[in-house]
Amino acid sequence: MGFSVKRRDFLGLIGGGAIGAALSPAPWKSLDDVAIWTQNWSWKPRLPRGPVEVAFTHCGLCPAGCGLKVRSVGGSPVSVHGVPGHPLSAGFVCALGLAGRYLSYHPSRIVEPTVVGTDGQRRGIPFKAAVRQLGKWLDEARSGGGHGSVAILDNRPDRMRSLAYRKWLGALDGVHVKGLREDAPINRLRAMLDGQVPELGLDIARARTVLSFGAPVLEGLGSGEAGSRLRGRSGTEKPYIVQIETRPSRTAHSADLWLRIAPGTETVLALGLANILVSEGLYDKEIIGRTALDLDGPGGYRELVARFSPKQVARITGIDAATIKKVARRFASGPAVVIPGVDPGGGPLSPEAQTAAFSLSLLNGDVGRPGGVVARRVSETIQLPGTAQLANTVELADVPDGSIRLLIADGIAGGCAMPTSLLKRKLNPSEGRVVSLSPFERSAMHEADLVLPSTTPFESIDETGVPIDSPVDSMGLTVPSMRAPDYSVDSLHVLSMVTKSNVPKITELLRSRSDRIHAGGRGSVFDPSKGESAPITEFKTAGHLWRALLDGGLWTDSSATFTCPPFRLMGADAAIRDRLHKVLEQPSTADGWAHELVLMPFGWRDAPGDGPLPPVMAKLFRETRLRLDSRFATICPGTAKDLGFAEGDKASIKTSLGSITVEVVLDPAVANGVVHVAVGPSTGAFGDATREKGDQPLDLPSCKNDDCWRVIPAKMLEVVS
Amino acid sequence: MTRRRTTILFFIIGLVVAMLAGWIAVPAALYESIEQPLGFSHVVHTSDDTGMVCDDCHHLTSEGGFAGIPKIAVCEGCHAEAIGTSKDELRLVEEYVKPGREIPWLVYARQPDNAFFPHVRHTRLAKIPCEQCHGDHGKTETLRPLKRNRFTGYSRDIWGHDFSGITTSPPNSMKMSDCVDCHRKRGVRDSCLACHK
Repeated sequence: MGFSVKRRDFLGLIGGGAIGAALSPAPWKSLDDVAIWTQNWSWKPRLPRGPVEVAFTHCGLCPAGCGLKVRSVGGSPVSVHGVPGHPLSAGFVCALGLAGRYLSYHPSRIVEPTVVGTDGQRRGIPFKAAVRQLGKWLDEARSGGGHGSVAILDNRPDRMRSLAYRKWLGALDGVHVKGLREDAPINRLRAMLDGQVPELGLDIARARTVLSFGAPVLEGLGSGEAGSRLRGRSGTEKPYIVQIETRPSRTAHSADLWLRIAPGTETVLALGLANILVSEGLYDKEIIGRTALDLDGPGGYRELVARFSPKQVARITGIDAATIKKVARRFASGPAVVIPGVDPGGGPLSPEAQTAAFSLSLLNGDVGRPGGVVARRVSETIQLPGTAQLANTVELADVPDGSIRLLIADGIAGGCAMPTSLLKRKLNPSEGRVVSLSPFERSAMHEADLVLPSTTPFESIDETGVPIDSPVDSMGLTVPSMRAPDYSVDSLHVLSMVTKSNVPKITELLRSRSDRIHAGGRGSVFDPSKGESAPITEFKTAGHLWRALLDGGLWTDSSATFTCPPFRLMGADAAIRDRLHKVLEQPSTADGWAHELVLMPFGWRDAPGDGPLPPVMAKLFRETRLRLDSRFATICPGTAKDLGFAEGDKASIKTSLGSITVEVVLDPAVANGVVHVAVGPSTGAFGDATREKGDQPLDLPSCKNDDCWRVIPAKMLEVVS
Repeated sequence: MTRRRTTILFFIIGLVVAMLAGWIAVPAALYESIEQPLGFSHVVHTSDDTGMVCDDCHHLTSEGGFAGIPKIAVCEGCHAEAIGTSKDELRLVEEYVKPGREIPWLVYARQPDNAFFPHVRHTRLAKIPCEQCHGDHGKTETLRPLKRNRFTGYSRDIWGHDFSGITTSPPNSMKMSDCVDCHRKRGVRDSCLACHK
């Protein structure tokens, strides 16, 4: 009998095989394995394997310098915690600090030197060619300009690295320019005092009242320790916080008293408060009469503030007279701290507003008394090799417009964003060039002519700086917790290559300061592994102190006594005095601004917009709106209705310099006639390289002569799709 | 034989062959067998003669992390010089203890990188015995070879030695579904972020 296989038999075999396979786990297991296999391709990043280590360091992402406990696996940090008992941070770490280690892998990280060619296109060049280009521009700048034609922009100008910058610039007749930072207004107060004035700090810890002019005091201003005290979490009595701010910020909502002030009228309110202090005699007449050099006489402070009656101030600022009186009396009842705040995105108050605010501190006798403004001991100057004098350090606002031919920008973040127009004003219109040393494209630096990639704070050693609220000097190091990539360069190394001069290495500079501190024998050193401090005298050699700092220790100086010298309540600058006398001539009144639209840009304390966000935060903010980014504009429902907008509408905000497209968000807490837009985190900060001119909020402000951009006349138009 | 019966025969042949392949051949081919670098007897180390207990080598650190497999320094405490003349003992001393080189043990329970598993919470807080996940490993005379998935690189202990992958109670594998089942039974949070940080 013959046996033949027909098509039907074959189909039966296939069918049986298919059913048999389905009745076995093989296909289902294969699906699972293939899914896993696709997640484990060789080019996918992998977590390191290796020994688990715990080390202590300080965060270098902002000037607060929080203590960090970093847990690493195989040399890469995998988790970050605060350090309980740390003198500056008291265990606090902000969201940016917790996720900051991811910045090293950010997609917008600069991985090679780039230069803008004659065709306007940016292209990569080798490192040596970049240094040659910088050297060529340096020669051109020096030959074409005089003093100050070469400058270094430094957002943390009090570091040892800054000292090396000044030495390098001294030989080139250059100038060291301080970038925007939250402690800048203190210098305004120093300028009001006569004679040699030491570094000053705000003694928030012992203040009875905190009078904040728009400072983000409950959003991370100063040190984490101060934040803990201000929130009443330290076990000590919490100061009474008065927040004077137009925007319904988180600090405004959480403060004991929020004064929603009309935009740009802070000077008027400060002088109004002074009027009550003077008219009701709420100051020490004997001491102030002796030390205030401009209280009485024609054009004096008393005559100035007499014009700012509570009724008049109420009309201009929109704050009722009874509240103004109540605040003034509260302020005078004990030591108080006045903070004329620098908004992380909105910038500083005007010079006259800062002066008027600090005049309250002087009038209240707070300068030199605990709970007010205290002095830090002056550290001895460290001599660097070379015969050149140190270059002068000046505020950016004091740099003459158009004077800089070559600006080298240090890449460290100062916590404040800066408008492009402000930087451009300082550059020579035809020959001004910008060289940026940064790990990322920062806001005002994205148009730099030459960019050299530098390290992130977690990859390089540096100093943390001293927070605004610290009553004493300190030294903490950002000890690297991960290896710097090969393409990154150190700014001092670049400078030494450009001029072929002997610029000290950063470790040598830091060691010099550590040795000097040891020789001084003052203060104490906090050991993060034990959570306790020991007097510096217990460190037998300078090497022991250096080792302790490298292990994440923090040196804090002992406190100093300071007697307030004679002072000028209206400052020493005649121009500011003149502006103070003319404040009432300005048209900014509560009735006036209510019918016009003004743009008030602002920044989040932990995402100011001058740099990228860690991807985890970017994703979180996008999906939750925990931080409204630059794609949103908040406006009150009444103004929105008048302008014809509703929640979720697309709108174009126009100023004299450009326009941005935003989504309208309605918030009844926003004042009439005001639109708030965050300067960051921007789309660029999410790693999107498409940063076009006029498309970022920081491109919109046209800085006035006083370098302020808090209140900008604007229009809001419908977007026609 | 009728045509119909022939077709049924072919169907059954296909069914049986596919099932045999799916249940026996594929598992045998999928996993490669890798020998441990050294022979090791848990029984000898935990016997009354040594007086050692599991926690002497596999302990929790002061921070709550699991120390995992002991470092060579721990072995050196007893094996600075060879104890006995076995081949593995001599290799241990000459190749690892004296040069201070770590033994590249193959880990049966290695979880994927994206899984966060705190031993301290499971053993101290939930009081789950080690054997529930790792099996009765402490009573073995020798170390079995590691069966490694050729596609994924995972140990077979993760999927479980039962190729069907069916979750049992108590579980005989360390799959995500085992974790989720246990969490649900105990009323513990079982969101994605509980384990995938």
